[in-house]
Amino acid sequence: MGVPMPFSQLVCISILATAVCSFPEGVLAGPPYNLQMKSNNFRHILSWQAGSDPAGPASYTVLYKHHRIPNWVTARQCVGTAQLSCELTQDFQHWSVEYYVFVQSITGTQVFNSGVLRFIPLSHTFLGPPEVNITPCLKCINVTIKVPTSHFREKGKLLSLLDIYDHLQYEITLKSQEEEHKRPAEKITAQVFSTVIEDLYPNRNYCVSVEVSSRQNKLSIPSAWKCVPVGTEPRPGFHVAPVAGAVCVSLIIAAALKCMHAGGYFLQNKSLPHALELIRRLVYSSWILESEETDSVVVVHREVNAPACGGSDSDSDSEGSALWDQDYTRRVTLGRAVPSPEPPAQYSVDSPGKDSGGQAGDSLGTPGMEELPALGGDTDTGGDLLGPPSEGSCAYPARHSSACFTINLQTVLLGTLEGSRDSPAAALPSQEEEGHWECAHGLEAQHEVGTVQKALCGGAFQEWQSSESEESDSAESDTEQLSGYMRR
Amino acid sequence: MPALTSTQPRRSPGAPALLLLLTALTAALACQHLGTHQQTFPWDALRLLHHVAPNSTQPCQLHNAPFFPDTLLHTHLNPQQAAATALRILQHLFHTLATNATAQHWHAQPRHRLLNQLQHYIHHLQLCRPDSDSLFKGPRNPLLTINKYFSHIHLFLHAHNHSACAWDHVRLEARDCFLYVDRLTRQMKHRAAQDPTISTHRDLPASGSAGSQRKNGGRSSNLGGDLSETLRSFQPEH
Repeated sequence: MGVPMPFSQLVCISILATAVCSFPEGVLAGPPYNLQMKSNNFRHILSWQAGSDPAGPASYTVLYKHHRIPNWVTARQCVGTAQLSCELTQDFQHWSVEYYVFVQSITGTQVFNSGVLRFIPLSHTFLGPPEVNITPCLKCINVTIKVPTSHFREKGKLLSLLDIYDHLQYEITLKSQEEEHKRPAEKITAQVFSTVIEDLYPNRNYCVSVEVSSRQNKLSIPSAWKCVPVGTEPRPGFHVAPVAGAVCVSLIIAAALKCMHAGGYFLQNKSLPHALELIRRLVYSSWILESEETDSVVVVHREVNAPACGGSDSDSDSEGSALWDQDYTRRVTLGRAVPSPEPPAQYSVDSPGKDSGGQAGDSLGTPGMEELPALGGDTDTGGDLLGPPSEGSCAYPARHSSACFTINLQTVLLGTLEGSRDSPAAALPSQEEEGHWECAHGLEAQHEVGTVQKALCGGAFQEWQSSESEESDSAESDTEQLSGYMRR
Repeated sequence: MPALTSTQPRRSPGAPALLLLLTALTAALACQHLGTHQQTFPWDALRLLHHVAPNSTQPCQLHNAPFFPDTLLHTHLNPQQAAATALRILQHLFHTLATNATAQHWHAQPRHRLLNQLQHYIHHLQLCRPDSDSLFKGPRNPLLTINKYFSHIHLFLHAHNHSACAWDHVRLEARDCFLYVDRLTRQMKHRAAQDPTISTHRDLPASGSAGSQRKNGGRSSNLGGDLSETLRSFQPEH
């Protein structure tokens, strides 16, 4: 512990320290390492990394051999170079031979040999990329491929890959929107050739990449993607065909519609045939809606005297009884309240000659309607009238009133609501319904039915005048007849 | 006695000819099918030979090392002879590489795959191999040359105690063998497509020349030509 260190040991330590300090990094120089051969189309470039930094500049020499050469051979361009790479293209003159390569570095007096790299040009060089040009066509792509020229020289002449490899082939990778498809490999037979990729979707962008390979060498560099839209190449008169087609289709559709219209499948002319039109006019001549025209009439309750049809005096009507008024009002109101396609039965008191047949003015009054709205008044009232029978109403056969007389009012039903006794909605006349504005049987003979009928009808209804003595029964039968007559 | 011949059943006069025709047809079909397999075999084997070698292999040079005989490159063979020669080489290779010594020095997986491919290709060649005894006549019998070559290889290995360096040299010789077999099978396919009766003097030149190969319908033995140049290059190239 307390023994002093011998002087000799101190000297050794100092020498070692000096030696270590002579290297700035403090690490001994080493051989080159990480040898890599980058070969493309038989152009071979060897690169390496220098060993740990030497004290001085290092020179590098590349040596190679194969098993049939007894001695190592120095590369032509890499003797004493300071660079960290060397091209051996001209040195490797046998493409199927397995070469051994190493790098020797010389730093001052130190010589270092790297590890040995084994390299077979034919199997380890990367082939390609080929030159690719693509042009679009209709639903296809025309691809022109040029095989890359190798750097291998035979008797001073550059050889193509076709000359070196026994079976050279190419593969096209086709890429569209979402998918990528590699087409089957095909043999290359020429330095420059073209192929067409067919059955493509028009108006879609496609990208193409080509790579060249061989069964002897699968290492390849694919060409860069080249994209082109398919099917956008315009042709002469390209737009004529679709336009002509559209015009023809339009004409065909128009002709079909015309034929259908002529055949009456749609947009039918709703006008009646002449014969039916005539009948309609005759039947409804007195029932034609006066387009909402109504005359103000003062309804006065009195006994029914005057007939209601045709030429009925407004005066008399105005002096009519309440019965009259009631019915009158009812009918008028009904005519308004009922949205019927048929001309609603509307009786206008003051419409003497608006219809040829006279209007079926319903002069039948109904008793009991003391409170009657004025004409032209209320639909509400009409609605009310259409409602449950008011008291004393003679419009409902259920009620019999002494002030009523029998009137065949089936025609009223057409424009009004026969069944609408209960609701205003029953506006569409049901001609089969018995309900009619028939005054009760209580209506005595102050007005003969026939008279009334005569008064009611007008010419078109003459056939109603079948039974003068008939009361409700006959009226009913007439109603039926009328219903059948009026039924369309 | 003379009655015996009358009782013997008569043979169909066309039976031997038909039998011969069927045999030739079978052989031809087998050899045609061989062309498909030939497309990948030599190059798969060469790739595997590259991978069997350990990474730390250092080039070494031993004395009296055997080399592939150049005389074979100058021997013109018809398709049947080429097939027989290729079969003989592959059989020797399999016999040499399947020993336990290679298992000690080479990587196991590529070695196993190489031997499988070798055996498979030998089987295909045997299907279309004619009788080799009648194929070669004359002093330059390639089969004898091949036998002598592989004997030299076995002696070389024995002399160097099956060292790693000796096996590496044999590995590289096997590469040359596969390159030559590829040339032979190409000749078989090429010749069969043309006219089997073409005389051998029109065979492809031994020394590789790109122009001459193209005249013969594409490159067919550039590798062979390259092989001959390689085999002759005992001197370093500058």
